[in-house]
Amino acid sequence: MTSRITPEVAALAGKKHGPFRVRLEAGAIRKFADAVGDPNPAYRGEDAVAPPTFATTFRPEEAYPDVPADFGDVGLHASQCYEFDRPLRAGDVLDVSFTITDIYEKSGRSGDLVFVEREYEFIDVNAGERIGGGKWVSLRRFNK
Amino acid sequence: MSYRAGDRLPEIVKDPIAKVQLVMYAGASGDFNLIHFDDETARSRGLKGVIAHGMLSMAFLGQLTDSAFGAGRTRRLEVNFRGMVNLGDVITLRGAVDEVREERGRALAVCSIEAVNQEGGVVTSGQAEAWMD
Repeated sequence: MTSRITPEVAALAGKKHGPFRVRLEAGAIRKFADAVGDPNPAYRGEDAVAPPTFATTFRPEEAYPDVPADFGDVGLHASQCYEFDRPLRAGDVLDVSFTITDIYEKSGRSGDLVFVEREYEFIDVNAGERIGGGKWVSLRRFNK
Repeated sequence: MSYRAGDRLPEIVKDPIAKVQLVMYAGASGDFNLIHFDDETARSRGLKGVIAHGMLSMAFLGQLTDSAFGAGRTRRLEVNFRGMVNLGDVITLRGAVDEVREERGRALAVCSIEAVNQEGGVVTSGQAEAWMD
């Protein structure tokens, strides 16, 4: 099989991106809980706690080097992990960075798959220490 | 809440997946991939129609653990996305405590968690850790 991973895509591995700064806002936390359909009152109010997957909302304002959007036929999510030393709350200020740690391919029932693994790090800006991390594995499918 | 190994977490049955929820989740999460709310795009990409964000089913599992243990007590969530979630699907969230261990002087529950559709198919599954005190 010819590799689906072009030199351009292979070159993305190992690169660290960020940090970019995020400020947790009570309104954004409430809207996230509303969208999930989770009525927990702890996610609402000025001192709201953030739901466990709220870190998915942390996105850089500027585009970062990534697998091109037209790479493959469809982009899907393979796996995800988040881990935090303490719950995130409205008012927290975090520096977020991530590294593309691996890019590899497999052949699946529905076509060839290229996986991209990214590891995240979350720094509490006020405390000046790491408070969590994560791992995001996405895939691009080349339909049969 | 306090649990022991072998205990099941209180099950949660979500409302059927509606397109408005996917649009709300797109806005709240910042994931505007059109395959989640535009049928034409979804079909052109080889899907049968729009599919829910995988991260929405992971958020459902966060609801399961934060509801069971208390908001802010979920320390870790790790999941694999195993099946697609379609419009109208009714997702049930289940979990069980596999182990309780002490960490940093606190009791930590390690749980198996899964999101299952109305046909019994596991769409998302993995592991969670939550503080009990």
